[in-house]
Amino acid sequence: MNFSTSIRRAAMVLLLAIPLGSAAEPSRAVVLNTASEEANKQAARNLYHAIFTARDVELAKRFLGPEYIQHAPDVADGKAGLAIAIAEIVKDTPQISYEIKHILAEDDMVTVMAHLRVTPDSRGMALFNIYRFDAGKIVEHWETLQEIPERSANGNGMF
Amino acid sequence: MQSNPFLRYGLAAGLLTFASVATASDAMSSATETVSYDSDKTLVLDFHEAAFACLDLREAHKYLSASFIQHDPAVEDGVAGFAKFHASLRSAYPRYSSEVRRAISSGGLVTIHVLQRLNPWERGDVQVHMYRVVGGKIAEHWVAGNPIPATSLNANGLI
Repeated sequence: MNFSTSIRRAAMVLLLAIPLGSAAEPSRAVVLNTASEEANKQAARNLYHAIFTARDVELAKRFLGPEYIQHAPDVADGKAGLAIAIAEIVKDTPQISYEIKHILAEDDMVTVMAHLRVTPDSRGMALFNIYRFDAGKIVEHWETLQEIPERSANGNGMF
Repeated sequence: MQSNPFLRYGLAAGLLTFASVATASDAMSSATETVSYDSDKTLVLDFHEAAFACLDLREAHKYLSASFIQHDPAVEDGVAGFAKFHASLRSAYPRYSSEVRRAISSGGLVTIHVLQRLNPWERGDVQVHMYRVVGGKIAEHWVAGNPIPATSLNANGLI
């Protein structure tokens, strides 16, 4: 969180607050992300591309800060750990692919929800990544991962 | 991967000290409030406190839209499906606990990063829940979670 971001957001709310919906509904304001939040979302997309598609650790490093604190338990810490993880993708799961379903940013944080498939014909997994940014670069990463089951108690899918 | 429906929900236990902000209906008349972000986040955290800290279904109901859409494959759709799940949770895990560690809110979507323990002696699960807030009510819910493994390749913890 930083103060200047809060100021910019408050200003943006004033500029962009427009009523939506019918008169019977309470008014809502549309709040867009700040420029830095938009840039952070793009950096998260770029990191996905570098890891899962380009599989290029040097490309990935462009989006990382001086440190990269890893919380995913199957990945070692830092950029060296990411390099190993990318090498494992190349060796073990070369057909892996993703589709980003949602991405949202607030201050120095970004959440990505994606559909990850190890092979094109697999049901795949629901993946959330949370990234913390410092000065426009990703410095910390958390994730949760859950297999999409064959059957769901509701008919809505996981996405 | 686990399939127990109770592993999917987190509750907001101790970190709910966010200041209240204006309700959506106040927003247009209160120029200094940052409307969408913080009111949505507060709503989601209040819902989680009611539903999963207080285990108070009646209070939790107040936050749910009549057209609530469930994407958790282990829980049936709608408000009725949530009520059924909640009743099972209360009866099966009386010492259930969880903590919200971080929350990210933007454009009507709120994600929360949760550590959950069904029983106090368990390592527990990490989850990311995502909610869509529409008109001051929770209208949609997604989740992906996984158990905390016994070992990790880094020393940073999962959450």
